[in-house]
Amino acid sequence: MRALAFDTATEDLSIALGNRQELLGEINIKAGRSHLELLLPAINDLLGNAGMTAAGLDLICVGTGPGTFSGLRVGVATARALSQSLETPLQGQSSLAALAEGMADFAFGNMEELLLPVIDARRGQVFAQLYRTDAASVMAASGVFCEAPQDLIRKIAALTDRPVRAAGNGILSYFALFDQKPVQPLPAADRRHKVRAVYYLPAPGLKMKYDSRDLLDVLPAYIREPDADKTVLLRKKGIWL
Amino acid sequence: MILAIETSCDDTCAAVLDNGKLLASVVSSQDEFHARYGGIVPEVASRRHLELINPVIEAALSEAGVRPGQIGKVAATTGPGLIGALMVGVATAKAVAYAFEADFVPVDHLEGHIAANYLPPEPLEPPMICLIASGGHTSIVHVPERGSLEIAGRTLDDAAGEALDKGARLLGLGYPGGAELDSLAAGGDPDFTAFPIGLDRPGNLDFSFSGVKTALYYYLRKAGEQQACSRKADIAASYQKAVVSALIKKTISAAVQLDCRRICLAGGVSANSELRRRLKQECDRRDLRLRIPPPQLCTDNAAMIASAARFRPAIGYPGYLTIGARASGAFAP
Ligand SMILES: [Zn+2]
Repeated sequence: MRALAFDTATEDLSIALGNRQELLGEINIKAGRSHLELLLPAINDLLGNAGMTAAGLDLICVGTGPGTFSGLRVGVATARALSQSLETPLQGQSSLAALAEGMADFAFGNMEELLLPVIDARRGQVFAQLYRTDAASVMAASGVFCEAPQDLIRKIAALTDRPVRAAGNGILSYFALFDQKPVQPLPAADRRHKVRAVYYLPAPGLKMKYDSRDLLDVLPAYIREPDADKTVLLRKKGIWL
Repeated sequence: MILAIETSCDDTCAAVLDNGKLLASVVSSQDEFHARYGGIVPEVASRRHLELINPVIEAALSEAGVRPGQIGKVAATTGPGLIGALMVGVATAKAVAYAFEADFVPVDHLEGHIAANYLPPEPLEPPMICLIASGGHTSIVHVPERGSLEIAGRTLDDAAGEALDKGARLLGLGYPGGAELDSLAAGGDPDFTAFPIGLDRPGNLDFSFSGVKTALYYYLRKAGEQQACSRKADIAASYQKAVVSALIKKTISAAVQLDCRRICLAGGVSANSELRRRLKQECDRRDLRLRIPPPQLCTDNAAMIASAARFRPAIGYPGYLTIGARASGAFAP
């Protein structure tokens, strides 16, 4: 089982190849706003290093955010087009869950602790979700929040008095604000603030069949509605464009 | 065989072209979504493109009856346009090219509009003058030969379609307004009142439509509601005449100045009945050949992108992998 997984929800670009037992390669780069220019070359490098072509893939996994809208669309559009053209099954997965899985310390599992992955939503807001862990996996313990950092902390404090370990680029953007109880951010330099696509890779035994209708359901988790007031084009189109 | 993708504004389009023969052209319009907002919301357009692009490609491929292995080139509009919308099309097209092991051709949207004239029926060959008029752009382009272009004139402010739509809005017509303005004007007197033609000087091939729009605004304010209502068709006809006259005058003078005997239209404003009728008259009178592509090739579509891609160098693997999209800019080199 060889899967290609990638995430474009944040300014970091993460790509992984293989399965849960055998990692054939991983690329993590700072993409800024250049996901469109960097994603396909990185996929090509990763496949090339493993001596593979895209036609040899059994599964494509893509992070559906939440995160930066245009970054997400580059990832999801690329994943859908590869899936459609290669007739390879496609899976969309939560970028928040991938962050949570990166934070979870299964070996020394502290089941008491909750996990709070936080992704910058711009415009003064963050996306976040509470997760709990058992010995082998993470499970969502709340819906997805889209809040200003102060409001998020207030809501989390109202929900639980268990310790909450937090990470993600949303934490780094508002580090000082998050450093208060019950939230305990990982140190700023910790690499677990970044979403890693390795957490999308499937178990080696997974078998999936391609169905062209399935890929239509793989779309970004936008969470926030489009801001129509601010973005309506003054240049009205009518039938003329 | 070329598979082309166009997502520069709010129509999601794919087409298949085989050696100049159009096998399929699919356009999925988003009008109903944007009508709700009274205009195009870029974020809404980008979201819809992502939902629609794969079914639109599938429809184009199956309508054309081609197998993926037969696609040698994948083309896409890389600009100008709404950046978020363009990115969906470019990301998709690059991934399709990568999966099919095809070459990639980046196409300029305006060059696509011109290349609609190379498609049947009655393809027109350069040298020619092309008037591109739409809601987003208004230019006069001199095409000495295929794949080579010189901009002879361009709008300094609003686009012609934008001017028509804004006029329609001032007259209280719906969205999209340009077509309604056109049909209302058909029953009106174009000489009822005179609206100004921007930059109306001999030898000037540029456009300005902000003045005519402002003139209409003040005319309606002064006329008061009652007169404006009873003479709505006449006002619409006079307004449309001013916009269309600018397009015709400058296109004809470009042909004269550049000594070019062929004129063609591109862009959605080509659907305007007043423009078609009067430009035909002017061309006949001067013995110029005029070509107006069928309406479905004038509005945004991917067939025109495929047509332009035939005359652009294709970029092979791995060169195209790093290609991006651009919101603005002149013709791609
Ligand atoms: Zn256009």
